[in-house]
Amino acid sequence: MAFGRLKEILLSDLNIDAESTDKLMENLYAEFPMLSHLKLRIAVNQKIISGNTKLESNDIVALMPPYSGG
Amino acid sequence: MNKVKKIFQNSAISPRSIAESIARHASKTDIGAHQIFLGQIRSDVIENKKVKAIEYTAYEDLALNKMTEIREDIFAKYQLTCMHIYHSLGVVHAGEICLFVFTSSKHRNDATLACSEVVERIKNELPIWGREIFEDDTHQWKTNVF
Repeated sequence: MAFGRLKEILLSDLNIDAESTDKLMENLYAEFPMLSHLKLRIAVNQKIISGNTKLESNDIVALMPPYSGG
Repeated sequence: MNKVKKIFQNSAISPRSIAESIARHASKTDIGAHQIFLGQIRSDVIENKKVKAIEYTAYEDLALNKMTEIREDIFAKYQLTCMHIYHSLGVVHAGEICLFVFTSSKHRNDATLACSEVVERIKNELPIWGREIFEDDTHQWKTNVF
């Protein structure tokens, strides 16, 4: 799932096979070089993660650019 | 797990709803102080283009869970009678209200400090994004100033 300006870069939610969040991001950076300019927070199944996290099939990964609510 | 309260509405926050929210507290006579924060859409001018509206989107499930956590922290830290929070999603035009935070307590200090802390935490910790729409319908993604 992508939010904020990431929606404009990725265009839609994607189904990607990756064994971990680091591998997932490696794939995404290769495909969408613009992503590397953004400071992203990553959530796996609605939990924000701080380091590399193992992924199971059907896990939902959310990529979130800096928040700007309020 | 505590009940997750809704905070989002798909429109600007009307001054009438704010007045009604204040009125609903008239029966709670243990309250001695209310503190209210209202966020209003500002018409910034950026490179000669004027912001006419902000379109808000959110990761709603995560935002509501995070808000429940913030609510618990705030109630543990301050002696509050109640706290109400409303945040707009969708398009909100310049001059309209997009955030309403309302804290009430017996004495003013708790309501004042809690309100200000909640506003800061909302801006820092809730996954909400604002897209600033200019008068020529181009846009840029808002960044929060602290």
